[in-house]
Amino acid sequence: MHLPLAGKAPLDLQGLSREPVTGLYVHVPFCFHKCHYCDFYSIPSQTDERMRAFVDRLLAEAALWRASAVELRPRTIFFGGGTPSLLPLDAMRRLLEGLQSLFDLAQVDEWTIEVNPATAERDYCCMLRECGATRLSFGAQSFDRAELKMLERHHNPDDVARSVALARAAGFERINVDLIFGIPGQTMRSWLHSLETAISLGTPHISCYALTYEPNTPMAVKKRVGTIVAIDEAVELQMLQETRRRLAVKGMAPYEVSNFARPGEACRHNLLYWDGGSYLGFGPSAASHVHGVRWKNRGHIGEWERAIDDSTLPAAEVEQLTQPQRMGEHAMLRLRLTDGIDVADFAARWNDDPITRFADPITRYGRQGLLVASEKSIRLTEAGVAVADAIAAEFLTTAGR
Amino acid sequence: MQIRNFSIIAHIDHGKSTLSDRLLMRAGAITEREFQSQMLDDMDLERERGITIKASAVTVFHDHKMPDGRIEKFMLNFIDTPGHVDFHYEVQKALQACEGAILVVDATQGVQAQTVANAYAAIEVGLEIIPVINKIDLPSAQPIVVAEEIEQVLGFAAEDAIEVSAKTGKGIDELIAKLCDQLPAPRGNPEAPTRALIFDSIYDDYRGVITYVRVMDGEIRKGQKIRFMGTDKQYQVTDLGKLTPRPTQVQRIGTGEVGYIVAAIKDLHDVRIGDTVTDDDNKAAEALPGYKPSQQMVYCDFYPSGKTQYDELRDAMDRLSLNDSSFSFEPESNDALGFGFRCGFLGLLHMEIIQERLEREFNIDMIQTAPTVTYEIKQTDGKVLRIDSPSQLPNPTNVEEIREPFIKMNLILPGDTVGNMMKLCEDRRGVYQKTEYIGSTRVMLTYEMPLAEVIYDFYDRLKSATKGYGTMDFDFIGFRHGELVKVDILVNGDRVDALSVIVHRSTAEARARKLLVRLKEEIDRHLFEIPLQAAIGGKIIARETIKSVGKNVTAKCYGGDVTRKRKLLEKQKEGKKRMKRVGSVDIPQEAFMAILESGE
Ligand SMILES: Nc1nc2c(ncn2[C@@H]2O[C@H](COP(=O)(O)OP(=O)(O)O)[C@@H](O)[C@H]2O)c(=O)[nH]1
Ligand code: SF4
Repeated sequence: MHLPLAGKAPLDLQGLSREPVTGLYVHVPFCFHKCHYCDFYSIPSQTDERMRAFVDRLLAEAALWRASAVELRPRTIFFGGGTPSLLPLDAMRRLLEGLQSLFDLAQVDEWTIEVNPATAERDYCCMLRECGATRLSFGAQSFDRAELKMLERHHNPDDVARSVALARAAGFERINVDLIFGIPGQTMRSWLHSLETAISLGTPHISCYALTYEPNTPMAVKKRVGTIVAIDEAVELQMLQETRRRLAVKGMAPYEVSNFARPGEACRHNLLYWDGGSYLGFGPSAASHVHGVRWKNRGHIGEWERAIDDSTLPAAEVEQLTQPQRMGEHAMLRLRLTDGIDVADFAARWNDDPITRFADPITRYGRQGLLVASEKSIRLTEAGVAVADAIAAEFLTTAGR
Repeated sequence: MQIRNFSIIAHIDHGKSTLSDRLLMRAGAITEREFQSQMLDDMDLERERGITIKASAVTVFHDHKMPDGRIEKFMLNFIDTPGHVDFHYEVQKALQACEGAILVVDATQGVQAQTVANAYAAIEVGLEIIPVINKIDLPSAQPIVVAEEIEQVLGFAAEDAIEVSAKTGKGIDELIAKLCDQLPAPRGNPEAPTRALIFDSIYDDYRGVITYVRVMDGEIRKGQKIRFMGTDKQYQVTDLGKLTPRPTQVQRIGTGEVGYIVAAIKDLHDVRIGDTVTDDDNKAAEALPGYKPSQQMVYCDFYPSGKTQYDELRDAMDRLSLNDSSFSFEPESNDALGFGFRCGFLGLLHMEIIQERLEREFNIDMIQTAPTVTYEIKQTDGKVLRIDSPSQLPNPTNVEEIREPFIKMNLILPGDTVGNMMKLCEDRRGVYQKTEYIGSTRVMLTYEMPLAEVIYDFYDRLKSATKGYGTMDFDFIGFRHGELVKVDILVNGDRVDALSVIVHRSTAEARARKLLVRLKEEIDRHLFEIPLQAAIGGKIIARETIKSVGKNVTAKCYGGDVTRKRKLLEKQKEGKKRMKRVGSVDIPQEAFMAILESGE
């Protein structure tokens, strides 16, 4: 079967691999309020009606895929946004149940939903658990009021502990707390306070992201015009290193640049991304990858809606990666992981020995103590993590276009 | 028929091209429409830069009413001269093909540096000069003041200056009449063996080299066997012609006339400006005086970079040198920059033109090193050699003396900026010669100065020291002893030859320090610390350090949007296209040019 496409870019469904797709991402593009650092696609202040209509269309998009030759048999599902928990309870239930009935979810062993700590409720969490979710993620960001204000996050520091308790009561063991460091005005001391508070909540997973000034966000503009001053690069680096050290001591070693988990508690969905796995993304701006073909849904909700209403796939920006590009991406993503590039796995996948292919950056950065390469793996040292992008860029170009 | 040969000389923008076109039009050679599109200089690039690189000779015919009332036919040949100091020798040769010159001065600008330089060049060659004050249609024109300036500075009687407007045509008839009446007719012996002066040449894809000549004695005929006396090469004339201004074939070019020769010459370098053409069967005893090979004063290296390959760069330069015999290049290799070419130019502007043409017309990506001048080295064993790159400097123990090229420079500037200008000239090791007044508000300063000091952003400095009003012109006067030393630059411990500079001992340390600061700005931080050092011989005289990158890692991986991440990283790398890796340090093109700006 051949589905018409809304975008100009040809997504050749027939050409996609027939191997089952094992990941599903759902993008819920609504937020209560737009945070000042955020450049995810989301729109604030939505009516319940629009959100219900959104669920209808999302299920319609899912149905288009159900009818296609591509087989989606997810092992991991991730609901991100936006703020998925902003969907009214009944709408969310309908969405979860709708997906259950469209696809075979028997093999799902991780289903994460991002939840706003300010508005988490017991009934809501119970419903999520009942309908199959296994993991919740709370955007705590900071436990300092002034810093939350700086980020324009509308919740209180205490909301997080309350939400985590609610989630536990609803039966969730696997919980993540997101934190941000490098906020203007933040000191090492206030950051360690936030970090310790998060650790004390006892969740098995913590993510700590350095604040990124994404272009065209209010934070970036304020920085440019000088109303805020970014914290010193050296301090930010120290924060990253101290965070990685501290969490490791507490039994939550970093498994990626910004992600920390107790053994076995790493986010499997993210690992799928980072290991070059296949996933479909539903909802506006959601990205998909099926065996070397990448595309992105139309970002604007109106365009996405129109495409669905015309029974067309909202896919755009379709890209068929070449083998060198796939190798480059593989290296780029795996280098961010603590385990690094698995030499045997790389060789088997691409029929290409990574030690030979990347000999140049390996020697160069090896000499500088930024990475270590053995017969088993190529991975960054702690010093290398600080400059991971520069190293990954070199691997990308070495792999070729 | 009477013949008059003349050139038009002027400071840039004073209206030389417009006046040439106007004269052509008046003589009926071009239409009003062609006049509008100024056809004498045909290269886009020249047009944009307002300079003429290629001289050409145009012949028109004019019916002149003689003082006794008779109408007589005149052949007017006008010979275009290159308009920039870099082409001094070419200008001189073009002037030698004439008996007279029209000196154009802008009625609103007055006498400027190139006015003086060009006028002197014409006087030196012995030409009759007709001063012309142009642009008198402009409200701000001050023809009387300008006429006085001309008298004061150049010594031509003020009342002899003709007031014209090349734009409206006013005064043009008077000017043409004066050309016929006042300029001397060419002399020369039609019966003597042929001697013709080569004053220009261009390369044509179909016909090979087209050589412009002025016949001094004898004649040149179609089919004639000719010999170039300087290169001692022999050819047969296949075609003869004149530009009227369209190419028109002729059977012969007689004594006193100008025209072009086509003779199946493939290489422009075989045709040297200033050389003498003679009849191979009836050779002239002596060549015309004053021939010398074109003199390259400025050198720099070009290295392919980015997408450009070595062969592509070489082919492009081959193409360019077909059309420009004064540009030369030789393969060069450098530890730091790999394989490239050492290129020689007549001057800085010439270098810029070539560089721009390579980039624009041939789409070449390249790294250019900072230009240097030619030095004369006297070795302890008595041998004298010329070097055009600091890296060629022999071991200091073998060097008895380093001599550098000196120029004589005329600067014309507003009187109240003389102080600034003198300071600048002293800073650049200028040797004061004299001050002359031009009218009541302007001054002409004359200095002798090392050419190397002029390469270092002198022109920009001149403009800022004189609020934009100053003009300059210079002429090479010879090599002179200098207390010079070579400063080497070490990047991460590696000496980078392309960054070495030869500077005066007294300023070496200050220069070195400033240079390192500039390099520090230009070279991106790397994943490791990079020491920068400047050294004379083995002795370090300055140092700086480029700190290592502290942090270069984005926190997020943008979820499943891997493409975004990849593009971000690719972009990080792409920003650095024009780079050369030296050891493990990426040095951008700007760093190589930074040497130039560290003069102040
Ligand atoms: N008003 C006016 N402008 C003129 C006259 N002659 C030339 N120009 C302008 O002056 C500028 C420079 O003239 P051009 O002939 O290109 O000068 P060149 O650099 O000496 O060849 C151009 O913009 C001309 O249009 C004139 O007689 N009157
Ligand atoms: S809640 Fe999340 S998605 Fe929404 S605006 Fe804030 S950071 Fe962006």
